Amino acid sequence: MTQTPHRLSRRDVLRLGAAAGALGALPGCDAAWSLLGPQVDPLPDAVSLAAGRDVDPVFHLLSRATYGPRPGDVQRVTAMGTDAWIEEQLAPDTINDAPLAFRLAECELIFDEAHDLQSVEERHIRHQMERATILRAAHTRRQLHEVMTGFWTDHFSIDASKRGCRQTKPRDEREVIRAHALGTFRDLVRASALSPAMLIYLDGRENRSRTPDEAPNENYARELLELHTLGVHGGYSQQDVMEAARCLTGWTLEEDSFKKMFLGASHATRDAVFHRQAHDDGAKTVLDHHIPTGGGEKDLDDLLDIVCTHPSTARHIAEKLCRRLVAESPPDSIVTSTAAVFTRTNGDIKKLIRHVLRSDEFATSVGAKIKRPLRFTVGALRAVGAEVRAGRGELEALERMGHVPYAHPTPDGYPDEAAPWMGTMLWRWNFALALGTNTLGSTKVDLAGLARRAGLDPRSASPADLAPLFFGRTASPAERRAIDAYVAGGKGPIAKEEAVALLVASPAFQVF
Amino acid sequence: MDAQDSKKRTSPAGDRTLVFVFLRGGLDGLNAVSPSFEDRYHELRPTIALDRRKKGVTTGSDAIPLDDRFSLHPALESLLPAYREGRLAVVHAIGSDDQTRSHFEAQDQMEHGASVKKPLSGGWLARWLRTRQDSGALSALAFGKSIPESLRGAPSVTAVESLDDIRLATKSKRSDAFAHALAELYSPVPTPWQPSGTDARLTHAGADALALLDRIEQIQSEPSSTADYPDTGFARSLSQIARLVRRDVGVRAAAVNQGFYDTHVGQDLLLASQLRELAGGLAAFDRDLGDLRERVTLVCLSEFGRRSYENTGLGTDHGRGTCAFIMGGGVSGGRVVADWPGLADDETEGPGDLGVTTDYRNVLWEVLAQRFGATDRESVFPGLAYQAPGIVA
Repeated sequence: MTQTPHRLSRRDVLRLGAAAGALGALPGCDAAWSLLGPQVDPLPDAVSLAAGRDVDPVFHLLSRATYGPRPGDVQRVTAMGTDAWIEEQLAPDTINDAPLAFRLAECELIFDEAHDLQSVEERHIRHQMERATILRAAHTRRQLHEVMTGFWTDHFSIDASKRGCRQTKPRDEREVIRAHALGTFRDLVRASALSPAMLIYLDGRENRSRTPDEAPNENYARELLELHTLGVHGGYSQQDVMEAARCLTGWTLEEDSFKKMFLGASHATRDAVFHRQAHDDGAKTVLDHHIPTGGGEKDLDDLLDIVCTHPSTARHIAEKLCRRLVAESPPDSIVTSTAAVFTRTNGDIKKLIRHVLRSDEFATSVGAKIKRPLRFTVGALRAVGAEVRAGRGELEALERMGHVPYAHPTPDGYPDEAAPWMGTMLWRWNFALALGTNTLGSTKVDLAGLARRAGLDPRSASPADLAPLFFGRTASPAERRAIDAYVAGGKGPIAKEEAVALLVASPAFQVF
Repeated sequence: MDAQDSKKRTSPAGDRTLVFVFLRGGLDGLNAVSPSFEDRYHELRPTIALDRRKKGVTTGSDAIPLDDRFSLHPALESLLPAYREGRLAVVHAIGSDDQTRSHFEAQDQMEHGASVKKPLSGGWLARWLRTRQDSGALSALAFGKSIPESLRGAPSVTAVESLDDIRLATKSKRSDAFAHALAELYSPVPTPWQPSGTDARLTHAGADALALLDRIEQIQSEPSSTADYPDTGFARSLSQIARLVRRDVGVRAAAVNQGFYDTHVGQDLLLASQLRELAGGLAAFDRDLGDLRERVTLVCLSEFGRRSYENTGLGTDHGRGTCAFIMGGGVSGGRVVADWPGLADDETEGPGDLGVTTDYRNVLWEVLAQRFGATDRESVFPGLAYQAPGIVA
C-alpha cells in the first residue's frame, strides 16, 4: 500500500491544540487541487455518449465493481475487455495509485498509530477518517479493492465513537480490512480477531478467566459466530458461543501502565498479547469439534479453523457478497455456486469476486439494487468527473442521510437492504441540486466543460443528452419530456444546471 | 364516535410524538426544584439557596412552594399552570450511574441509554425507532446542526435548524417546477425503457417525500400559532414541533437541546436565565398544543446534577442526582416524585453530591411502554432491571 509522506509539522501543531490555525491553512489546498486534479486524473478530451435503450453491460459492471463510472471509463473498459479489467482490478498493487496518495496527504492522521493519536482531538481524527473514505471512493484507481474495503468495513463493523476505537480504527482499516480485502477469508478473520480496535469494540480484551469463577466475556465470540462467520441461523448454540469465548480467553491488549495511570485504560492500547495465566486452558468443544486441553494461544487458530471451514460460513459470506454485488435477494443459484467456490478455495476472496462478476446472475441483475447514500453521493460526483474535495457538501449530505463512515452504532454494519435508506429521498434531491448548481462548497463541478468533451452544442443540446453518463443508457421519452419541460419553463444556464440535477435526482440514478 | 376517537382506539400509540429535551451542561436540580424542607440545604448553600427569606434574607424573588417539601425556582413560574393542572411532573434525585462527572461521558451515556455495566454506542431513541415498523421521512427529527447521539442509528433521521430546511433547495427558486418534474420522473407508469415500471420502492419513497414537501409548505404558509412563544431558539423549535404534530406528519421522536447549565461561577443569573428560557418554551408549547396534548409526551433530562454545596465562586461543581421534568400525554403530574436520598454527609455521594435514587432509564422506558406501546425493553435498554416509577400511565 502506498504510504503518504508524513508532514510532521502540521500534525504536531494539531497535537499542540492550535488546530484552528492549522486548519485555516487548508483552503489553499482547494485551489491547488482544482488545478492539479485534472492533470493527474484527466478526463478524455472526447467523451462518448453512445448508448442504447438498455443499460450498457460495461456500465453495469462498473456500477457494481466501482463507486460508479467516470466519463470515459466505459469506453476504456470496453476497449480493454471486461475480463482484463477485472484481472487488473484484482491485482491492485499493480495499479499506480500515487495521485490518491497525494490527495490523502490532507488526511495524514489515518496513517498514524493509536499512541500517536492519543493526544489529537477526536474530532480531527474523525474528520480526516470521513474525508479519506470519500476521497478514496471518489479517486482511487483501485476501485474494486475500495468496493471490497467498504464491504468488509461493514462486515467487521466498528463504531469508532466507542471509547478507544477512534484511535485504533485507522490501523484496523490498514492492517485488517485493506490488507486482506482481496486475500483469504481466514487471514482476514484472524487479523480482525487480534486487531486492537476489535478487541476494544467487542470487549475481547476483557475476556479472561484467571480463576475458575471468572466467567469469560462472550461479546466478541458471539459476534464472531453470528456476524463474522456462520451467520445468525448458522446452526451454533449458546454453548458454542461460551466455548468459543473460552478459546479466546487471555487475548488482550498490551498496556502502557504509565499512560493508563494518567489517561485511563482506553489510552493505553497497543498490540494484542496473549496472557497464559488469563487463559482457560481446559478442553473445549466447539461445533462438535474437540479442542484438547493445554492448547494455550493455539486455541485461537483451532477455533478459527473450525468456524472458517464450517459450511454455514461459506453460505453466509457467499450470500452477503452476492447481496452486495448482485441483488438484495440474490438468486439461490448464485449463492450456492459462490458458496461452493468458497469451500473449494478455502475462502479465496479474489476467486469469489471473479466468480460473481462473471456469472449470468450478475449480468442479468441490471438496476436491481438501490444505492446507499455513500455510493449515491460519490457516484454522482464521479459521473460528472468532479475533483472531489470531500468538504462540507459531501459530509453534510452523508450525515443527513445517516451514512457517516465508521458510525454505524451496532456491530452488524450499515444495512445493505434498501428499506432503511428509503427515507433519504429529499436529501438525495438536494444533493443533486447542489451538484448541478455547483454549490457543494470546495468540490467544483464543470458541467459546461463536460458537455464540451461530450461534443454537445451548449445552445441546442438538452441536459437529457447527458443521461448515458448517469444511467448507462439514453434518456427515455418520459425522462426527456420532464427534463426538457423544466428547461423550457426557466431561463438561462441555471435551468439547464437544475435539469442536470433532475438526472441525478431521478429514480434511474438511484438504482444500479 | 368521530374519526379522531376511532383512530385513537385502533392505534393508541401510533400517532404520538415523544419530545426529548436535553438540558446540557449539568442542571442544578437542587436550585431548579429545591428541597426547602432540608435545613441542610440552606447550610450548604448560604449564598445561593432559594427561599432565602427563611434565612432572613429578603433580596431576590421567592421560591414557589410545590408541596410541603419542594419549591420551584421563580424563573420556572410559568410552568405552574401545567403543574397545577396535573400535566407536568418533576422527578427528583434522578440520574445515571456514571461516576466520572464528565460532561462528555455522562451525556453520551444518557443519550445512548447506557449504564456503566452496559455500555452502548447507538442512541436509545434510535433503538426504539428501529423496533417500530413505521419509519417515514420525518419519524425522527433533531433540531440542531447535527444528529444528536440519542438518535444516531435511527432508520431515518433528519437534523434541521428550522422547518425551512425541509425544502427543495433550487437556486432558481423554481422548487415547485422541480417538484413537478420529480413527480413525473417518479411516476410508476411503465415505458418501453422500463417495461416493469420504476422500482416500486422508489415510486413510494418519491411520492412520500413529495407529499411531505407539500405538507411542510402548507404548514409554513399557515398563520403561526396564536400561542405566544418567547423569542428564543428553544421556543421556536417547540413551536415547529407543535405545528408538525397538528398536521400529523408522522414525527415519532424529536430531539431538542436547551440551555447551558454548567453553572460553576455566579450561578444565580446564569441559572435563572436558562430556566426562564426552558419554562417559557415549555409553557407556550403546552398552551399551543391544547387539545393535542394527549398526543405528545415531553421529557427533559440533564446529564448530571451539581454539588450540594456552593463553591467560592458562588457557583456549583459537577455532581450526581438532579431533577427531570415530564410533561404531556399520560403524565400523572402535579407532583414531585422523589425517593429523597437526603443531604447529610452520610447521605450524599462522593464529594457531597445528591444521590441518584431513580435510574433515568426507568422513566424513559415507562414513557415508551405506557405511551408508545413499546414492548421490547431488551432491545431499547438492554440489561435494565426495570422498576416502574409510576409517572406515566
